[in-house]
Amino acid sequence: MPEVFISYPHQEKEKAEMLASTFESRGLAPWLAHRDISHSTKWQDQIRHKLDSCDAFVLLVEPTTKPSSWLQLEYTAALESVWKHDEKLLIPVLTGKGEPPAFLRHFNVLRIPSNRKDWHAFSERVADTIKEQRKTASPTHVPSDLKREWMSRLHDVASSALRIQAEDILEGAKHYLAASDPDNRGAQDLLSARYQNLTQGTKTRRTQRRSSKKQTTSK
Amino acid sequence: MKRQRRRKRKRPAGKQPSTRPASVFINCPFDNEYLPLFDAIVFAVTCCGFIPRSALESGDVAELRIHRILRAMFASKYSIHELSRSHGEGDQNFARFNMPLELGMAMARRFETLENHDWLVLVPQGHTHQKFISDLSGYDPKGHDGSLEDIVRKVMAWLVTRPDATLSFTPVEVLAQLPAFQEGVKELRADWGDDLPWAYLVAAAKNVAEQLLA
Repeated sequence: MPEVFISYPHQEKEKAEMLASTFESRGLAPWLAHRDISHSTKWQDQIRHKLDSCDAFVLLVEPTTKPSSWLQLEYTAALESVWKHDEKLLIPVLTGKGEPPAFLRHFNVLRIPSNRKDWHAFSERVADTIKEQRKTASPTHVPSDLKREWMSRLHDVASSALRIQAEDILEGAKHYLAASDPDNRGAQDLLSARYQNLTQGTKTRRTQRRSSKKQTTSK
Repeated sequence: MKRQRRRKRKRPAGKQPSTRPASVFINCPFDNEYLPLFDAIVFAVTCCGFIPRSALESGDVAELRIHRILRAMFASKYSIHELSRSHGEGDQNFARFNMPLELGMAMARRFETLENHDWLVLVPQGHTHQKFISDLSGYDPKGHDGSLEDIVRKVMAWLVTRPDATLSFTPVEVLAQLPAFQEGVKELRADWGDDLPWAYLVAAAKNVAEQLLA
């Protein structure tokens, strides 16, 4: 019987239970932390063990809420597991409006119906997907605005590394000067001013970029 | 006159705020044996859209090394700590204490400054870490087998599930681009040797990472 780890935020317990009961009626073995943890061993160890041993993951994700550190740990373990074992399934289910988090880009994300009476039919569909070991086609298209954001982020990564390096050189020079020529206040002040220019310059550029972005969006 | 409360503009649901990328401090051995893994971590961090930082970013300057490390660590939102070198090494069979020491700094950053700092601890595969660093139990250290594939998978799975990740790729995609980065770094090291500026290493990673969307 395929074991299914259901990950859910605390406030979505009811939806997780609904999925679990449908899974059971369809011959799957769902695992819910609040229901299936026994008191004999540490609960953290039990969750870790299940994350390792299950055949499929169903992640209930609330897109607008920051996940708890424990949920993040479950997402990390699930992702790592499906990346490592091709046969394992990961089915993300969004429980509210909003875009899925970045790490689910490669999965076909399902959205739980807002109408409660459609929940049962929806959970039957999820159960069938797991039973048939059906990998849902992953979306490959990256929207152009996301591409632009990504390229700009990469650019920021490289320019930040340059700025950090420059700051570091100045900081080192300040220390060197302070140790080797402590009376030379002029040179020390000059270095401090350069250092300030460098950090403030970064801030100014960031502010400029932000305001130009605002102008673009207001247009 | 009734004071009007400024309404906050609502961000589209699920969309993360567009901010400067967060830094990831990489705390690992700097020796020839570990170098390919270190390069792979730097590349994976860049591909995940974060700024890689390490003790290597500071050249041979007058400031104490530990101060420079602290500065970089405290400026980073995340850190990765490699504790797999738990055995004695060299003629005198000494263990490497720098990595656990720096993990302690990361913990101090989180618990003493109450600032947002999160870390990933890498340990040898199996349960040996429960013997040599048992106090870490509960923090879910990740065991790895020392291969590039495993370490990239572990680092990426952790980084892309952080709340400020923007766009994620799979380890297969990243590993496919890794040889191009390794080649670029090889040339840089041939030119610069041990003095390779950190920013050049990151720029090389960025140039190859751009190909992920090509």
